[in-house]
Amino acid sequence: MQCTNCGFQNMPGSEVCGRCATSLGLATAVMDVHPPRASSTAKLARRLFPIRKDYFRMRDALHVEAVAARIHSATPSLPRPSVLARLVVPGWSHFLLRQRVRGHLFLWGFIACLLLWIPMYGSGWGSVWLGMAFSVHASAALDIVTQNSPLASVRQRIGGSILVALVLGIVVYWPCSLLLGEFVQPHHVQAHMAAFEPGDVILVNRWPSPRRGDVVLYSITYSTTYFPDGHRRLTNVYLGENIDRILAISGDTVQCESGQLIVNGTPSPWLPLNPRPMSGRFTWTVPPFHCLILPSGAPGWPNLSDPNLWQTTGNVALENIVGRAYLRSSPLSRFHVIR
Amino acid sequence: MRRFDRLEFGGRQENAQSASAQEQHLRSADHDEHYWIKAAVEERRNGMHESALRYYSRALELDKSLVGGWVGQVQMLIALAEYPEAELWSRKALELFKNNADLLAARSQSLCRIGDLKNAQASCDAAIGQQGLFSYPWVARGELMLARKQDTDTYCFDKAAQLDNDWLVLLDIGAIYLHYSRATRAIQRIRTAVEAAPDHAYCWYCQGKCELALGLNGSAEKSFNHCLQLMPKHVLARRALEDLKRHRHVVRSLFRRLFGSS
Repeated sequence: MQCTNCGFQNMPGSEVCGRCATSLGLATAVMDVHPPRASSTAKLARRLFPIRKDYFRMRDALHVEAVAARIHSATPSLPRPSVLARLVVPGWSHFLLRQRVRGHLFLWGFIACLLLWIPMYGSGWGSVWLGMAFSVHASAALDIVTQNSPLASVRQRIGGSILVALVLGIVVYWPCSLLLGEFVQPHHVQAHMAAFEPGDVILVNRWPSPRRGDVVLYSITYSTTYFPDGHRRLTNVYLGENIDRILAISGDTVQCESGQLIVNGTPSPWLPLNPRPMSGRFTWTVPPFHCLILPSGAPGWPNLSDPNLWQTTGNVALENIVGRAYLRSSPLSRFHVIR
Repeated sequence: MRRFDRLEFGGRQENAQSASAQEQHLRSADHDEHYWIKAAVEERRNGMHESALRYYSRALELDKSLVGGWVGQVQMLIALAEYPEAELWSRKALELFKNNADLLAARSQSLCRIGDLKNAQASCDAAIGQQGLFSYPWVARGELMLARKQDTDTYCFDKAAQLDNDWLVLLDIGAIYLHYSRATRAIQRIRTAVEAAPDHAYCWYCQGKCELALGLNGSAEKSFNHCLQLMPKHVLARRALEDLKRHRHVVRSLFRRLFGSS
């Protein structure tokens, strides 16, 4: 039997060609001989979105870079200091080493995770995205560190990964979190207060000193009211934290006349976050290191007709102020700048 | 009624099927596989890749051991820009005809068009390593070099043209250059093909296409007209000419002249 592929003369009864292994019973075999066809939509989609081509291009580029890195790593050593210093930004070191594809992958992966983290800062998903960003950063660093001295055993790899993550955490992320925490401290609202619901995330800036009109996060402690007749009463307005507006600062003279709040002789333009009609008539001065905040949003808002109660609950010590609340970042449906 | 035998008309489907079966029987009785291969090659030389593919399939229906039929199918799929399908089909054909140089080259070309240059290189190397002198593996190698942006593509294409002095090889090379937006190189090969076979309409059609890519609309029009003179029923040339007359974009033409077709 002669092979149709190579022309080799095979022994009778052979099923495949002895030279090229072509099936000799092919002429009579039952099989589909009509090739698969692409629809015009598929062709258009392939032309518009050449994903497969891009994938192969990236794969080949990564392979070339890996080979180049392997050639460079003939003598195991740590990368030079200029490369190590650039590990602060994922992908930067790769650009220096002319590994552009990897650099872009790490950099844009990190930026994507950060961009997803920013609007969810303080929430559970925010933590997830921050973790992802950190892992991309750690992977980039590990990739650079292990290029010149490949870690051979599993133990070395695990140890190296932990060490790189630890160093990166201490050198980059810890100082960043300390710095960021001063300006952007997330606070989870636990109970219903003023315009906030439980589960909301409020961003608080701890730096600026309190000013009139600032909406602040502050803690409320037990307060004791002394009445003129000598007996005292323990007032628990709302134990914990509250968010409301500073109406007056230390040294200001506060007056209330027919429901109008007057600070230093002029009607105050500021109102509490949850304004209610004020009654009574009183005048007093805000003591030093205190400011006036009416806990309007707290559930147990007292009767404001009583000037003693005003002073007791409204005068908040500066040390109890956590910081200025300026943004409700979560949930995204109620994302709002606090003014 | 031969051209309507694949249409389905509800209740008449069975009749249509039986008629189709009868037709097929008659066809197979009338013509053997070599006839269909010849018809496919003829269609291919006219630039009718769709019908050439159909004729290759008909030839394979009669005899599945025709390597040329399988290779032709893959080449037609590539010409019709159905690269993943071509790759799949070449793989299937290679299961039947292991280490066939032309099939390996066809697979290499389809992989190259997909962008998988690594596997394309392996396949092309295997194709060139086979015994015998074949031009198609060198065409595939040239395309691979072109895709890799290496300068050795000219050498590979020259080698292919040397091994097979058929004008179709030159047109294939020209089409490859055009695919990679190298119209200036394509026109050289295609003009050689036109000189070799001035009485073939497809050569003039390819030249027109290439000139169009270069922004030489006047020359392209002449080439298409020449193609239609040789083959008045050449649908692609007629369509190209109509498009050219309908959209006389002076700016686009100038842009093409200045910056090329890409």
